Amino acid sequence: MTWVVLGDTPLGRALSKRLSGAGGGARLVGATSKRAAADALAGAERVVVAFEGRALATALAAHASHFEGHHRLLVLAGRVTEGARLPSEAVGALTCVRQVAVVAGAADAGALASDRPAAFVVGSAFPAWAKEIQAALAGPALRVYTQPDPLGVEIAAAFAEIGAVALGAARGLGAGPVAEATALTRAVAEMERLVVGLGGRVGTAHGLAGLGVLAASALRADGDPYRAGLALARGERVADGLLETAAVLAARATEVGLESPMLSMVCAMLAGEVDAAAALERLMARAPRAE
Amino acid sequence: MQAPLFHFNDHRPDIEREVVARVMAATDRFGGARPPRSHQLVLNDAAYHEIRRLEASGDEERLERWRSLARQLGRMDADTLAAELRRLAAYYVGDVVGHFDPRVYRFASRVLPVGLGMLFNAADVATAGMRHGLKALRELSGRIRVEGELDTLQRLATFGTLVVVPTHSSNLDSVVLGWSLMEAGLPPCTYGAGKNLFTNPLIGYFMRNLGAYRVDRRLKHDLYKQILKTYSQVLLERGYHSLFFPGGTRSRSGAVDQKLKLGLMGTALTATSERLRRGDDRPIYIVPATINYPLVLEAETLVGEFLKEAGQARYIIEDDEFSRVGRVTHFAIKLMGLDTSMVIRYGAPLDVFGNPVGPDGESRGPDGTVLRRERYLFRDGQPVDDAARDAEYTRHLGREVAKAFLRETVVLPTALLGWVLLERERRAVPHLDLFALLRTTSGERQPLAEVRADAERVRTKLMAMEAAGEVRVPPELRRQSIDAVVDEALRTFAMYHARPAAEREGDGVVVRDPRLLYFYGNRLAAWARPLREVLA
Repeated sequence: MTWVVLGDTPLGRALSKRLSGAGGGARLVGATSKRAAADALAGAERVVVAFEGRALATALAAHASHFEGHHRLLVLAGRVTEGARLPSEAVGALTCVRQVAVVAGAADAGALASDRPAAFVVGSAFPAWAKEIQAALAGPALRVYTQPDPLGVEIAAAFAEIGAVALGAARGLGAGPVAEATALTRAVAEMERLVVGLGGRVGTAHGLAGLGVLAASALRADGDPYRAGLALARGERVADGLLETAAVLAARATEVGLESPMLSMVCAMLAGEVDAAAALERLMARAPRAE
Repeated sequence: MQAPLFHFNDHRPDIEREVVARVMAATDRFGGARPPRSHQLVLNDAAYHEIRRLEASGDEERLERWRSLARQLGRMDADTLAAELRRLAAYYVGDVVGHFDPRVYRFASRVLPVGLGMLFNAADVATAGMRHGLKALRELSGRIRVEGELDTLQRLATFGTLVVVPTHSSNLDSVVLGWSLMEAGLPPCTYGAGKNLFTNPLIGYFMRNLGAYRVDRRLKHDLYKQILKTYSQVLLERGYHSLFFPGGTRSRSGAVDQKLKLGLMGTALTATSERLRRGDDRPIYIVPATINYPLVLEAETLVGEFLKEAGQARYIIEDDEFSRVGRVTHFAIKLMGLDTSMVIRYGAPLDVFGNPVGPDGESRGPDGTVLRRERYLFRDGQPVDDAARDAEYTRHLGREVAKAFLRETVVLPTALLGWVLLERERRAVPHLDLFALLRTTSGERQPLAEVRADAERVRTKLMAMEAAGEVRVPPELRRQSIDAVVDEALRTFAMYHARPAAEREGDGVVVRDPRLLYFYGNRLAAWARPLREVLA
């Protein structure tokens, strides 16, 4: 049972190390080595692509001609990639692969490497593939759950990044634990509306991909999106990747007529259209409503 | 090479036997149980559904037979249960299985366009005599344009099996498609048609003899569904070109079918798997097709149903314009008088996994790489059965077919004007919901100059969308002045329906039947967002 991990990234290395114990082992391949990737893909059916955002689309396009129908892909949920696509959509648009799974949750390269207790959720419409991943990755310190709603997992994971920006900003502004708890619960409510409105299932947002990631961000007060929120509260600008994800989610929400106040406000903050304090003020000033 | 359907009758008994045998094998595993328990479950399910149906229909004799069966099920031994199940399966298979008479096909192809010709001949004989009728038929064939990837499909049909999956607007669709296949040099297809359609003696005769099989949509039990799927699969495995309407029923709202039923489409994949298992690597190709009518025979009934049920389509409409010969006649004659052609478009083929297929019959990935199709069924180097995987493959195929329906939709003047007029009304009263809008729009007068200007904006946008491969704009819509396009749409509206959707009154256009306007304009519903932007 050979695995290929495309992407010599921290998470790629951590996953490769963990998968190397799975039967035939795992082969870690850097993105630039086309020949090595072609060789590896010719000899394996199970593939992890450990890139996020634009790098994911670049890697998929670079190796498109080496993928075949029997390949099964695991990609990381979270950031959108080129062409405003969710990661699984990029796989569908750029390769012939159908059997895709997305992974999200309260685990990262650091947690995997340190053997601290952590958990992933693997979303896939292909149950056999999800179970293969579960069996290969799970261990004493890593819980792996399967989830038949990959779209929900992807949207929840992408929104969780945006929600973490809001939580970071709230902390940075010194809004206090009650405000942070309110931000967390409203983020989950908004995430649930978005997941369901865009075709995902009820409840997926409350799982590891959504609430799990958000809660982990808030409790450890760390992670790129959370730090971006802290930076915004200090009046600094942050990198574009988050804005792209926020903008894509906001556009999709508008398309289906969903109201998404937190998403819109984070979008505006990331775009430099409003500062963090004003954003908080506007959210607090919204008309009263039922929960 | 002659299409397999020409030899159907020779193989019919063998096909029936194979379907019954496979259905029996499938029922052996029903509900996770084993015989005799699984047989009892299948019979019980059939009895439950049939008793419910017959109680509502009032057919006492059949009802009593099913009740009697239901009472005895608990006392039957294993052999009796199996025999009863086999008897029922054989009965249903016999009822479903079609027939193909090459003489009828040759007659139809030589003398009249299949089915359609006969249908319209009846009309013409009734009104103007045989000679006039044949002349009118020739004119009619000029009113139906068949286009698309015809050369590719002709080639693929010589070594592969075609599964044509068209949009569904009218009960005339299967007849019109049968004619178009012949016109396009494509082989005849077998297809499932609602049993109610066979009651029309004229059309029923041709359907019975040209490969149609009967689907009784009133039967809801698992045994019958299993028989339909198995029959379809066996035909595909044996290389019979087939036709399914994946929309299931006619589009009630007038919109292009997007919610597709995947049951029969999935048989293309299971048939492919089965063929590969037997070492038969002949491919099966999915051919999305759109049928684009300037006027729809049953438009009034369909949109009425849609609005009445608020989108919850009643499954079968037993009594509509199609069942009234006079109405069909009227429709046919009016269709012949139109300047706008009806267009049947055959799109680019797909493989059973939803990949595009090139003119050489090879499947291609997004980057153009030739794919080894069988690899989709492999795990660890071997073909592996995985029903959940295959179901997801078929869902993907369904999404690709739905996209193809949009790409291959041909925008006709009635759709363009219908959409523009109703959109203008919607903008005037944005606070109204659809139902209120349709109730209040009748009699509204819109300035002709403004309507033309908006129609021009929408046409320009549609042409830009066509350049991006999103929809089709036919030459008559592209080349004519917008004044002529609007006039043609108004003339078309006025020709057939008892009350036209809209009509010209001096320098204005008056909405007469907003429901019909909605029905025709809804053909463009999938593009509403970009089209609305150009009217902003």
